[in-house]
Amino acid sequence: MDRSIVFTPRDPVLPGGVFLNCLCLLAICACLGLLLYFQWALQEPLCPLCLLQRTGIILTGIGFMRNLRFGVKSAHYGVAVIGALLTGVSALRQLSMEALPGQQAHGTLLLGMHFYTLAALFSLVALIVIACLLGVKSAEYPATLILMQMAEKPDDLRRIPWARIATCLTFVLLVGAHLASTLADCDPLSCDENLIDRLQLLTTDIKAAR
Amino acid sequence: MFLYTPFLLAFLTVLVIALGWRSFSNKLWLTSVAVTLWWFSQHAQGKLGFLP
Repeated sequence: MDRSIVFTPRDPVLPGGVFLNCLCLLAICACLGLLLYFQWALQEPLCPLCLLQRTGIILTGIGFMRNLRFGVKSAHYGVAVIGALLTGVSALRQLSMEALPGQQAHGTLLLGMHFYTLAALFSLVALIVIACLLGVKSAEYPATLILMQMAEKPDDLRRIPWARIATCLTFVLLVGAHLASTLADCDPLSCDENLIDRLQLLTTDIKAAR
Repeated sequence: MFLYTPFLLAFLTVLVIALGWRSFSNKLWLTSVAVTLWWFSQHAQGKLGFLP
């Protein structure tokens, strides 16, 4: 069968991006676990922008998880890039509010840096890693070739991807733990639960002014 | 809509991805990004940072 129509390998063919995506998702799991440890064990207080940075980290991980679950695609890396950008934007906003000269920085230090500094660095590193992974991605085998190989050797048993399943399961559990911890520790100050009331008051004021 | 809504949506997205529901996970992901951006826009207008 002529495979040149469906696949022309680049020379040299690089190892698959699935393994590298697994590593990236594990790194994100480590970040999420570290944040949980600091929140639970060291009683690090919650703040609105910290929560948004955590959401950004989770959204970055969702891109890698999609690669593991649905196959490596550029669109999935786009998902991860948007998550990394969200993390970076909220971290830089907090950095500009707290870490400039004359301002008071709060929170625990890790490696001599505050968490928002680390979140900004995470965003930068994630963007660099995703750019590198996109280079590897062009050597991925397309689904068509895998289907052709399976049709040629129907007796070959497909291995269950336990590593991928375990990594994804760890990520799911950590995201669930973050949801639970946020639900448990949210108070009107840290989660700004009176925001809707303030918005309604604002709307009422505008109507009254008219 | 409280600040844990993005976490809830992200958790649902992750679950739906694990179940293999591709198109629905796209919609959920888009919703969680939109909600996160909305919250960020609210906080970018007011007081920011760690609260006492």
